[in-house]
Amino acid sequence: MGVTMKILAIEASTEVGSVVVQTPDGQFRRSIDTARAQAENLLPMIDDALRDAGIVPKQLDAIAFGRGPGSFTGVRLASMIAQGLAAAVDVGVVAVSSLAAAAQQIWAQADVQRVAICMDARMGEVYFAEYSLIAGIATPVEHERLLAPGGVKFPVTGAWAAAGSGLAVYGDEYATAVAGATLVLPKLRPDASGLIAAAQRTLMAGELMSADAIATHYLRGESAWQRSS
Amino acid sequence: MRVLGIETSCDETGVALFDTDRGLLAEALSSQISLHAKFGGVVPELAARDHGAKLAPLVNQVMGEAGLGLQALDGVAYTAGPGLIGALMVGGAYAVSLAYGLGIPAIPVHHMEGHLLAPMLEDPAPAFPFLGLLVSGGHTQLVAATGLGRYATIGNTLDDAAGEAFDKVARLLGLPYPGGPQIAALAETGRADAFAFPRPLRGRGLDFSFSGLKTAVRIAVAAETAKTPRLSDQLRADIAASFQQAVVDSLIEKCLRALDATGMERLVIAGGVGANRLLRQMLTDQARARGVEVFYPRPELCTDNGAMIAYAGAQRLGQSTSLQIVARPRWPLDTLTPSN
Ligand SMILES: Nc1ncnc2c1ncn2[C@@H]1O[C@H](COP(=O)(O)OP(=O)(O)O)[C@@H](O)[C@H]1O
Repeated sequence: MGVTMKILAIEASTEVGSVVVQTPDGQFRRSIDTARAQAENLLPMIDDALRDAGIVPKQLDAIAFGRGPGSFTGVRLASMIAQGLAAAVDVGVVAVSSLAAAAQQIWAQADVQRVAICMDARMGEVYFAEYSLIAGIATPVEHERLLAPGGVKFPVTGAWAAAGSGLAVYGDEYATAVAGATLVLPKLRPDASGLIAAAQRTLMAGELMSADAIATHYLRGESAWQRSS
Repeated sequence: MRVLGIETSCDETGVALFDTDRGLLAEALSSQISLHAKFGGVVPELAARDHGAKLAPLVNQVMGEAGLGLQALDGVAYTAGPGLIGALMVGGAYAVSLAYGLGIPAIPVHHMEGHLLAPMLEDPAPAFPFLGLLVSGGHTQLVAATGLGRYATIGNTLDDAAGEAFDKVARLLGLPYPGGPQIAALAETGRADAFAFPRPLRGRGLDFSFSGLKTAVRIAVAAETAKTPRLSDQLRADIAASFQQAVVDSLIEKCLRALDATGMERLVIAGGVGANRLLRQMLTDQARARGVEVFYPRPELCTDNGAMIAYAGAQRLGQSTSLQIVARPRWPLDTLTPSN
């Protein structure tokens, strides 16, 4: 199974929307960097990536999507596309944390013990989680959380990396805390490629979800519509 | 041909399966009314989240009830507007992806065309041309329909929609949302001539106005409350009945004028307020007296539902397999064309 798996991954929790088709022949990726254009472009991007890979939707073994936290609209878009497509071709779905996807991307390029992902959540808050690599998969040390920027606790020992838009937005505030990091990547965004490892493992473990049973992960609840109204 | 219809434009998730030979095969609806109740109106983000959670299970339920697999579909129709952008996007993203995966067309449907054609799901069904009275929570329109996609709005509300007036007056009387059915029920025991509420724009043109009527009710409620702080059940029923009569009179008067102006011989009543019994009864009687045939769908097909979207989609089933997710919050009915 491991070597023949064909997986489609969709990630749209930030202004960068990306899709990846993973097959035994490699990774076929498409992306766009304007949030507004995602609704229009995600499906054509999926179609293009599948064509590049030389497969049709029916040949997929699983569909993964970034379940947030992040842009409500983007996460929902990825989730509904995954659900609709999965129902049509009758495959299971994997919902992967978008923060974990970002962490996974770091381990593809750096050998560190811990990764802290800090994404701007607007309204004066950040989405934060710290990860370690277990059996090749970015695994949260603690639950991902919605925090005031000052509430974030970066790792203090070992080799660690910090990444995400929160580092850019609150750069001054975090300057001292991230000074000891091996790697600091404020421009890093969750990407569909970061979803693949978790999707492969879930698929091999036979733990895919049915397309109508998946949930998105907003982290921000009633405060979102109470404060914005 | 079998078309799945998906409606997510506001606070109702509707799914239905329509067969061009056998009619409606199955339908399901999930209402968000209780979800939004504590906020006093529809919260867009909350609406989108709930559509997202309910849609896929509803599709499964409908296909299960019809005893068919998704492979049996020939098209997937979805409401592309007008409506709440986030809510529209949920149904659109799911529908277009489903259609893409199945290799069949996705059909973007105009919500109000869905309402307008809903009576065609009934027997007898109206034929074109007809005059349509579209009365819902967001719309109050008179439409001259001469064919599929050939709609001319000849009358419109200048302020509130009729359903909105029902909802606002219900709130004045301490009744929950949606107010239409509540007012109608309360009016059963009331006297329609107890209060002389205005019939705005009477005798003038084909446009409607309901905000003055709503204000008149508010003033009456305030005056009565000043006399006795706790209004008697009879008084509340009288206010409801008098208000309902005023709305119905206004709708009927404009309808009759529009029938005269257009010479149309068929009248279609559609949209949530079209479920109102008094409106149906009086309008049917008066239109028939002029030799006009009247059509309206069963009450469940008056309010938002997936069946009307499936039906309208089936009429527009082409071969295009666009990957565009169409979501148009504002979309005038008059801009439709026969080929969309
Ligand atoms: N029996 C009734 N009498 C009057 N109004 C009604 C009745 N039933 C529903 N309504 C009104 O219909 C509206 C909902 O209709 P719907 O077509 O779902 O509207 P929209 O999609 O514009 O919200 C609400 O304003 C509701 O109060």
